[in-house]
Amino acid sequence: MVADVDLDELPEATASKVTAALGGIDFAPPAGKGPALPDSYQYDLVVQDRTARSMTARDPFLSPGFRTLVDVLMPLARPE
Amino acid sequence: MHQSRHCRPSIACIVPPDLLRDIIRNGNKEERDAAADTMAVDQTFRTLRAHFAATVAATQVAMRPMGGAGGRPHRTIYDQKNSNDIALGTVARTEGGRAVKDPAVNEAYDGFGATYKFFWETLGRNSIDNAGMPILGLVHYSTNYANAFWDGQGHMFFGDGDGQLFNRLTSSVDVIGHELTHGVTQFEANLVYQGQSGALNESMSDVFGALTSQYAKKQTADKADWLIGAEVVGPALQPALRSMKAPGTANKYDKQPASMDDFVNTAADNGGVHINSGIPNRAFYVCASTLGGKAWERAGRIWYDSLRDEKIKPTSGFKAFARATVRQAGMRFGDASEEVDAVKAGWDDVKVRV
Repeated sequence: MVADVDLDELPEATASKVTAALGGIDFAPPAGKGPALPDSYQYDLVVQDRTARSMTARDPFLSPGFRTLVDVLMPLARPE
Repeated sequence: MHQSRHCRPSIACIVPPDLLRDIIRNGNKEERDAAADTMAVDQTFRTLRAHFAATVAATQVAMRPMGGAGGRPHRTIYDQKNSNDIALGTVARTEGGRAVKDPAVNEAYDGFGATYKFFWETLGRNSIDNAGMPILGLVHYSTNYANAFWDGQGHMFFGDGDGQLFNRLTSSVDVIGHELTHGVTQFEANLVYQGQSGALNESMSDVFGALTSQYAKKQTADKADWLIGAEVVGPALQPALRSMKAPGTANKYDKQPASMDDFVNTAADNGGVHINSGIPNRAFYVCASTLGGKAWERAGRIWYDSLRDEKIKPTSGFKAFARATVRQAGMRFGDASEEVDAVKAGWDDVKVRV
């Protein structure tokens, strides 16, 4: 599933929350993205602004900020 | 970081390598306006895992039964109360305890019991590690969480589903059996969860999850539906998550291949572990249905023996496993047996050369 979101097209309140969540995420790649636990979800986040930043995380090892983004974006996900 | 509206930044969140890739968009207003907590991001998931592992190890030492010959599970169900916390939540039911009001708790408890009973009575296996390991289930994990998983540390997590695409994940015995079998695989061949070995890992869980369900229902191979997760999917994903009999037909989004001709090369889903598992799943179905009768008695036994075959390594692929099944069938039933022929028929059907 993919959620391809443009902040300008989100309701203002939601866009603000997403912006705040992104502002607190450290996109510096960690030493590892955690083990591939059988059947656990993996989330790949790509943010494109003036630069492209990305990170990957797996359930259940999501940081609070990443978890918040997942909770907001999952309902917007579509078939790939 | 600046998120100027003039720049029209976009966020692409490529979500799960889940077998349900093509889920219908669900974007009502209520969901879009979902609240977000104040951000306090840290990159501590590795620290969380280390802490979790230490906590689990201490818990397992405390809970491991003192000796005993097996035959009885040791189950504990925890209620995570829709939290994302991976630490053990509130104890909701312990071994021998009465049924409670919460159906998820009871379903997990009963499903664990059915899986333990299957492995013990048909294969002589005493729990996940064959040494009476406690079986720990964590229900009501997260919110509207449409998944269940084994954490490699002795716990199975179950979400409640979203009520539309998925029902609660404890409502399917084959899903519970599937998750518990990941633990069995970990303690046996320890198949790496990537590529073909990962697809084998997934297939083992589907095989023994399906057999757990068939055993509980006393079904023969010809009476079984060979569907995985029929009880957990909602209307949009009917009739099931996967079909072992006919990979690719379980629901309108199912893209599992049924033979090596259609093997999917992908980086997603850890190299397609939930996709290409259709191939060994189909091989098992053909073997079991060719033999007839109760699938756990011969086909299931062969597959279990093969999972424990000394030549099966963590990185073994389909061909190595297929050869192991032929070898094990020959050792148990004779080289000229109908069981060997049925095993070969299974792998021939999916075009894995033995």
